[in-house]
Amino acid sequence: MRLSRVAIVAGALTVSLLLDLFLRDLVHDSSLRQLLMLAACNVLVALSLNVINGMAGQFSIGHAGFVGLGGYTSAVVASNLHEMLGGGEPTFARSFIVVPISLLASATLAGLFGFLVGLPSLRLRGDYLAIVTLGFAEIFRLVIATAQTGEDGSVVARALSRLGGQNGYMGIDNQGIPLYAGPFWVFGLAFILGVVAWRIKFSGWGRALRALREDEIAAAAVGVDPTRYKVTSFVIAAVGAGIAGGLMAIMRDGTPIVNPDSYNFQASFDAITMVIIGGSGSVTGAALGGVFITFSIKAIEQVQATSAVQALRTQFESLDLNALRMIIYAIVLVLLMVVRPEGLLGERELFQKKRSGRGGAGPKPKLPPSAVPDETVKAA
Amino acid sequence: MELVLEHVTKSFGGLRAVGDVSFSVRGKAIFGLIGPNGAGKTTVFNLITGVYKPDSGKIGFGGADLGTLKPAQIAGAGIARTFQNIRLFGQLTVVENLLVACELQKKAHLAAAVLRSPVHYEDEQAMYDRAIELLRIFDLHEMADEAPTSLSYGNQRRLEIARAMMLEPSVLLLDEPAAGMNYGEAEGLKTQIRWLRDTFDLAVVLVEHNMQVVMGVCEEIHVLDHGETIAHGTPAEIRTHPKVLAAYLGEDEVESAAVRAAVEGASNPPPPVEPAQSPLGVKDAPAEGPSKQAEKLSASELAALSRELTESLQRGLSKPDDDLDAGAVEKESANVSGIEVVNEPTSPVPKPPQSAPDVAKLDSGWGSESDVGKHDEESGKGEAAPKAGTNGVAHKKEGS
Repeated sequence: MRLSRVAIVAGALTVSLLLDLFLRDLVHDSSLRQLLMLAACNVLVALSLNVINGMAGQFSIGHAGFVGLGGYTSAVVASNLHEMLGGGEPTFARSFIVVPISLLASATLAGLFGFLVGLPSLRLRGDYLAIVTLGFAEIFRLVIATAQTGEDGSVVARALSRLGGQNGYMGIDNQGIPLYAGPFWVFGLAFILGVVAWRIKFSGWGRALRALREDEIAAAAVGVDPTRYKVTSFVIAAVGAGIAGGLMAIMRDGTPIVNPDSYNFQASFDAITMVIIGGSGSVTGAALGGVFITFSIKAIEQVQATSAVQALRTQFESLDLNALRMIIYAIVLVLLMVVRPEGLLGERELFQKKRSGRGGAGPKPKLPPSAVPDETVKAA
Repeated sequence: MELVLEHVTKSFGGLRAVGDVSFSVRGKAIFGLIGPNGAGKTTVFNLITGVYKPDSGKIGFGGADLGTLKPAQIAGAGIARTFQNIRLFGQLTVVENLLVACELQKKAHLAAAVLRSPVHYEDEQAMYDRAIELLRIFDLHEMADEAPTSLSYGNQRRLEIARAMMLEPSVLLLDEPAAGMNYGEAEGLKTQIRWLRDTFDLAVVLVEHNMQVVMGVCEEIHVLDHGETIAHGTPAEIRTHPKVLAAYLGEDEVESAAVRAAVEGASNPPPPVEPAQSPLGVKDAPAEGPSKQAEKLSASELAALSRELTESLQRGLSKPDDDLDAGAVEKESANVSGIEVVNEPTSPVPKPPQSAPDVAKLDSGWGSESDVGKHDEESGKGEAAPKAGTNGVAHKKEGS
């Protein structure tokens, strides 16, 4: 059992490594390559949001705040590390220094803010908590977007001004962000963190979290401390989002944009859509949702290119399906909620082993004679 | 370990739900907490388990002050409870419901679970085995992988007890375990409670309206009315305690019953408090046999009434829908259909109409949220102040 586990991990890492080397040859279309990696990042976003929204039953609509925090942190850290290492082209060998450190910084900072945002979750429920999370995300975005550029003001103001304001972060002296995270890191981390999310769900901790979602008072009465579990779930979700954002910011094969508008409410809403489409509480569902939402962008582009739509465009010049994406999402979501309110998978998982027969099997227990009236109870 | 309440008081706004209540529960005792609707029994449970914090007074347990602990810590200290309205985790399977209660005892924490270290597997296996063992004891093991919502009502109640037992408590608080049970089931419950106490070496505190269970199983009973202690003693003492009878039957009824009994003497069977016109008849009524003394008489009347209600409960079971959060006042009502209690005041002084609700209080509170129940609640609130005044000589005793 242990050996097979080692083999699986080694296999997954090898596949990631091979992808890192040969993805360019496998997939010639660079936009499709970017989309594949973006899908992996979005899976991480969805998996992390699933911990709060799905398992813990808290409603967070500010997930983009944590993603953005991770994005900015890793972009800044990676740029500085790149500078320290001498600049030049990002190499695969150097990514083993830059990526882990950047992502660690992202995860730590996002986790810290996750803790702070998680604290009010003890007193607030439902809509009120949602507003707190949204508030956090908007404060984060606006603080960066409205920072004055220039070298005057306090230390904090100067630090913020280097983040580029509304235009986004462009690296040190506008050299651009060094893009270190290749497919090896993106797919490798998506795999590892996917496994972590799975294990969290199917651990005592995940079980307690689901119990808490069902009934807080009963959960507390059997020793599940709502405070601890809720705040921890917020921290875990924020760490996951930080890593996802960090990866997106320094992702190779694309032109990642680290600007405030990438982390607006729209992005939070996309994350919620991923979780809900896949099925709240389901790890594989969240992953499916992440892939689905990412590729729906590509799919809509494809539809856009078909002759029928092109013919329509000659009549309606401003027809742009990409701009209509949100309307299409909305229609898909409404239909899904009508047909399958619990999402594609509900709380179930793909490939879930069913624990069966173990409860009923085995010898009958040696019941003490006094417990026999149970039988009469059953009969009655 | 001993659970000690000292002068515990809790108010909700202007309503004094629990006022200056003191009692102690020794290890291995079976302790009953009874009282009419709105007496504050469930509030006492919520105070013990930390859902509410006492306004004043002290709740001690084996040296710890429970007033300062959070509910989860109190559960960890060895106090487990069940709920009046069943609170199971509906989306989890039956066995998972039990496993949730292991969180405090686990050696493997989140990091171990994510790494799937050997400790995690050992832990999970040990917990799973223990959960299945408990399910077997409660005869639920064949439904281990089913959703608790698919279980019958009685099984859900027993699953809740099983879940509480998973904490390995030294005090088990049962909030109306017999609610909705028929005569046979209640008899079974009595045996189970004793068996739980003996096997797991714990104290049981019971909030119950079903007198058949309370009188049959409790060694010590504490009676509350309007949040105040009105009596404390053994079942035999409680049966005949004038204040208890007054609280349950109304003072006039007790007086007249006592007078009638005294007049008619020892050999005659007790005159029924109510005209025996219930469609069910009084099948079980003679079980107590003719009483020999006046005090004994009113007690057997009590028992007869209790049985009547149990009978009527057998016919009309329905689901409880009261909510603990709503909490200050217990909303309990009895299905009293088919029982018409005539309790016209004999004295010319008009009394608040309390006959039907009061009799309803005798048995497990339960059934549809009838007008009877609501009325009872209102009258309970209204009466709180004058009652407290008349109960100046409240009989208090502390078990050592």
